[in-house]
Amino acid sequence: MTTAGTILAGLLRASGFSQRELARRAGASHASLVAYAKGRQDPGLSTLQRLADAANCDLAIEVCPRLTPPEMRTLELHRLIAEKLEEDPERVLAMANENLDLMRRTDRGGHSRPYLDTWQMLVDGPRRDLANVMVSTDAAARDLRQASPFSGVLSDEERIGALLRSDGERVAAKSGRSLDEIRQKLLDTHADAPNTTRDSEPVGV
Amino acid sequence: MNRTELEHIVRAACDILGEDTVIVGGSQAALAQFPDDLPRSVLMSREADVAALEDPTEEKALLINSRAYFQKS
Repeated sequence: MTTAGTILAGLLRASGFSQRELARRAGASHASLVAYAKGRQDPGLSTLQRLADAANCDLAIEVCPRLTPPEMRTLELHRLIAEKLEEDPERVLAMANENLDLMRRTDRGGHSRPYLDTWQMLVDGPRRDLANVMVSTDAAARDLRQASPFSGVLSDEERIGALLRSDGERVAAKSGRSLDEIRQKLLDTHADAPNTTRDSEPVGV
Repeated sequence: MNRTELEHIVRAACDILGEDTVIVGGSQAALAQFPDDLPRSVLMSREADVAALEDPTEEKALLINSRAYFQKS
């Protein structure tokens, strides 16, 4: 979480001013800045704005939706898929088109059609727009990723890597295992499990 | 996602866990109980939140989610 102290540190770094100099320019006391930095006092938004002005900085406040654990997982998987898209667009787009065809054929009743049509438009459009939707946290992108056409793009090992980024630390803390041990256990289980095939309908990422 | 697809995911999750029961959470849980007359928004999603019955360390959840699921057409 961003605190007044981290914002203040950012302003000092960006401006190159000392605490005392920033306080002077903002018409604040040095003691107040020390108190903000140490979290003993809350500067409030208007004071932070005044400090930012004095440091020749713009204060940008962003509202970020809090993602649920499944949404975090899907986001991490799509971040990696976006990297794959950058590395090898032909392969990723061909797989997306193939998946979209399969998904459309099996979408009896056309329930997923709005998502599939939007993905098709993105797959056929500028690559930057597609990549942006893959990594966006806005509500429309989160909904869209629930019907992702990128099944099969990631290998088991890559999937596991992305999931360890979203869930790994929590599982490591609860299980007492290291991330490497968890990764190896997952890979071993995958090697032992019967595999699913690419010539079938994708469900999920 | 329709009921058949959900059943496929449940079977696949049971296979990889080596267990015969899982919990379906989120909006897709409605598919398990009320397969007919569901709101369109439930059927639009192709993701399902499936969890093991006992999973205090969440390792089984990681295992379920680490798998890509495909259903034979």
